[in-house]
Amino acid sequence: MRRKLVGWGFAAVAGMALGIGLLVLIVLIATTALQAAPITAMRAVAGAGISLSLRSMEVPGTREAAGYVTVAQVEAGSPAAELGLARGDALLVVGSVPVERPSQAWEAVRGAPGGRGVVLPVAWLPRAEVALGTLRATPGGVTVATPSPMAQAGGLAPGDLLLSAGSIPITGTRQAWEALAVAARTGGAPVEVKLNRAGEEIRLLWDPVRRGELRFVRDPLRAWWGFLTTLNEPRYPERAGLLPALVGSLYVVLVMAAVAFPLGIAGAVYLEEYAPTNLLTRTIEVLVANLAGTPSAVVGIIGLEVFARALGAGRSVLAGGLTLAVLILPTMVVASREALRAVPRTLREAALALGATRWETVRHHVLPYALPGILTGTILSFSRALGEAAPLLLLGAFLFVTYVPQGLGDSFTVVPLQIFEWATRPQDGFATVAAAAIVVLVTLLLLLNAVAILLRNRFGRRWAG
Amino acid sequence: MSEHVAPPVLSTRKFSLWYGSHQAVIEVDLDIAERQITAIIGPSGCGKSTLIRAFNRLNDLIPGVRTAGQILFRGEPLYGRGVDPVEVRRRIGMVFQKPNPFPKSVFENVAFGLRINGFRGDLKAKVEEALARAALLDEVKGDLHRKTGYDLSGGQQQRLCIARALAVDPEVLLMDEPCSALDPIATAKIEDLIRELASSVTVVIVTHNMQQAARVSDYTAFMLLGELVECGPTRELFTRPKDSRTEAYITGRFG
Amino acid sequence: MATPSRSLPRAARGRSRRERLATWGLTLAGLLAVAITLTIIALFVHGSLPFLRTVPLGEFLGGTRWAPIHEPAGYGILPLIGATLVTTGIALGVAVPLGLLAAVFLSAYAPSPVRRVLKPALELLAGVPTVVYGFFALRFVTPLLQGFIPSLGFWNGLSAGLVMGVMIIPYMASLSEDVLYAVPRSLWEGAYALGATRFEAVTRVVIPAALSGIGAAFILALTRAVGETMIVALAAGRTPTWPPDPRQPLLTLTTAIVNIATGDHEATAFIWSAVFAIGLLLFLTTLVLNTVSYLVIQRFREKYA
Repeated sequence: MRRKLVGWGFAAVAGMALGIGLLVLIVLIATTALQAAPITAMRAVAGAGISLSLRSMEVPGTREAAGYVTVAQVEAGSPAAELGLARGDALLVVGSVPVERPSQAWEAVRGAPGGRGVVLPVAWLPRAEVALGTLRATPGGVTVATPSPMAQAGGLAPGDLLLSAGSIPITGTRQAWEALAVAARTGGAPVEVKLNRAGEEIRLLWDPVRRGELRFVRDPLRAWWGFLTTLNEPRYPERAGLLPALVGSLYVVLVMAAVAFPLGIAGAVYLEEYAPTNLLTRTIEVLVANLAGTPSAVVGIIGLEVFARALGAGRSVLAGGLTLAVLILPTMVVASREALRAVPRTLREAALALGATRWETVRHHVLPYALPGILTGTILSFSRALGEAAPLLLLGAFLFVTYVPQGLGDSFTVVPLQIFEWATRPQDGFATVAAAAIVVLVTLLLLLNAVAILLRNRFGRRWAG
Repeated sequence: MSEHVAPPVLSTRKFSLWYGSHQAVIEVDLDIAERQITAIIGPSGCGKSTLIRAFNRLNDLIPGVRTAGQILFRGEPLYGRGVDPVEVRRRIGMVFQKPNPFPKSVFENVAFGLRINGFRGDLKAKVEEALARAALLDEVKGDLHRKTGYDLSGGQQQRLCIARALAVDPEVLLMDEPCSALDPIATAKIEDLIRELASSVTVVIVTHNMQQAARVSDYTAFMLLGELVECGPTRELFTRPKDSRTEAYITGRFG
Repeated sequence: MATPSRSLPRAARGRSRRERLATWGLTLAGLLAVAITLTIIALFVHGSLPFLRTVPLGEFLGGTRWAPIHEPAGYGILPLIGATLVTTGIALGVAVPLGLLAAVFLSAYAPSPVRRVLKPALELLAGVPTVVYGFFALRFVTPLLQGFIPSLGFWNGLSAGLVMGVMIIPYMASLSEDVLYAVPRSLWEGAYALGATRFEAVTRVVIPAALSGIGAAFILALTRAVGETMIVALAAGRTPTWPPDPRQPLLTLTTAIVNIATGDHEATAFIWSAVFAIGLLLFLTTLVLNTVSYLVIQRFREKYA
């Protein structure tokens, strides 16, 4: 009885071990998909015509920095441009949420109740020239030189010495505007501005904030389609596009396939059908097994030294494809050999007994028979190559490629490298974009794997007899 | 072997064969008469299949195989230097134990040998002729291209393999237990076919079935543990064996 | 019909030219593996010569400060080796028991329909790109672990190692399953015939019989962990520390290569030579490990063939 219990306990533990592996796979996919979700809202903001960027101001007298969001880019003719938003304005509120970081603006759009399209109030502080005019640093502090019309309307006059905005002391010409923006965001408008006019301290209650309504279209389909089909804008995650990386991956894999597919099969045919059993063959087999286990970083150095430098291909699609070909060649050989080994010996003998040469036997009978198996192995090794980043990272494939490669000589990036690049960016939103690219890549690989498994099951059964 | 006047097609001279260190065939001297059926019998593992595979050099492909002595094909050494095993195999065809059609259409199965040998002429007529010689044409005529080798029954598959071998006009047809995987009816058909073929081609058949050897062959050779024990006209060998081991075997005392 | 008196041809015919061509072409393709290996060795030895000539081997292998681009430069590789050992150790600590247990479950317990579903699922796990695992470690595992270990850095060896372990589970499982599968049925039956339970048969008979093969699988898992680049590059950071602490950022051998190759600084010929020296060390390590494991598995197969 006790022996039986131990046995069942062990079975349960062993089953759980397998379960943990699969559970991690599920958690990995689920969390990544969750992290990618904000991309819809991000692209909705971009779709309204603005790109955001995080700035920060050190609050004088403290060690703290206060973040604020500026409008880094406004698309001409977009709803945002029509509303009057311009480059350099500080975005203060979206919906009812004060915005300290770009991600809060995206979250506000994401969380707003309503359907696909939502109209949200936005508030912003116009850029310094419009809001304040020209300031000058003087020995006493920051002085208004020529106030803008807006500042004049608010009560500022030339010669005023600016002291504070809200509770934030004003210490610099640029910082004056930043203080205004942070004060308006945290304390709301109107802002209490302290100034010294002709020796007299004055408190102004000024509302420099502009308000309006913007329509955001939250369409996941459009967001993902846009992500997949636009060029990459490296500075703004809401305008990040995967197109260059997708095309780069496609080109590199095509070059790799053109080299590795025939060579891999040829190597396998040699080892399986031609090679005599001697020390050389055994050495080759050991080396193939070895190369399959060589760290991809080492292969990357080879790519850089041999293809990029010695052969002069540079950091191009060609060099990238050849590097990946070296990487997957051993895997291709091993997989193809397995497929060839599954070809019944009688088939070879039948052809040979008819007076076929070895090559004719291989070409007409062995290869066609083994083809489904070879293709399965090929797809699996290609999908491995499609996800490979390290060798291309070493090759120095450009991380900031914003265009689609046109030919073999162009520099390129690939999806995994683009993921790496985005994942290492500290700015808001790039983690989301990296997660989105992962969703794309993993979907692609799952499809490829599914095809391979289908192929194996289908032909495995058909020729089992 | 004084009954026939024509020189033998194949003859082995002190032929030995090793798989690595194991000697499978030991100094065999055997003549195969032209347009006759020679059966090689013996218990499993006696080297009969190895010997027949030596006749078209199929053993070449197995690593570690070594030979000594000679096999003469129409007086010329098969294992001589410069002899192309590919050409040997075209002229000495073979049918295997288990039917092994190619996973292609019936037509392509038969046409393959013709194509690789650069046959020029009416391919269709030639294929149909081969199928007719193998007594298969009537059964597959309608769907030469539609049916694959795997769609046929076991007996049909084996006849397809015979047709395939015949298509390239071999001078000798080697058959390695061609009926061992077939039911009795299919076996009977193949045996009839073998008798008919003997009018145009030399047949060497390996079988572990003594009745089959007795029914089909003109000459019978008996092998035991790699050695050729006895060879002679079939009737003689089965009725008046010279060697006591042969007698023991054909009377069923071992094997 | 055949003409009886044709003699056997002595010379090759037209077709055999194609045959010779095919033989040569295929032989060349077969020799490619040799060519690539020789290229790697030649390239790395040649490339690392300037470095190895300048930096004493003792300082290279025994030094504890790695700072090739700083002034004064340090070329001690111990921090990198230490970091690699830390992440590899953690990874194998996860992958070996879990992978082995999963293999035992698949080969001894799982009913065949379950097996048919689980094996491809495991293959999918093996198909996930390492950069994805790296992102997962950085953005999910590290924040999760920081809840338990407050001193855990944003970059750390621990979560990189753990996730690397998950990445290796399918390899370990699949390799060990092959090995367990190769154990002849008769050994199982022998154990059962003596009245052993399935658990006893597995632990007392089958696993001991497969031990050399499992050892080879372990070595292969080890080389994967040593050579893994992207997970550590993303999640373990790029700071060489000595002594290595899994809670802190680490710089492994592979990331040291990446660091120099992708750094903003001007990579001088001498620093590149250091990359080659590290690459040579990595390659030789994996060469030895892979060869040992290959030979062990071959021996194992022959034993039970």
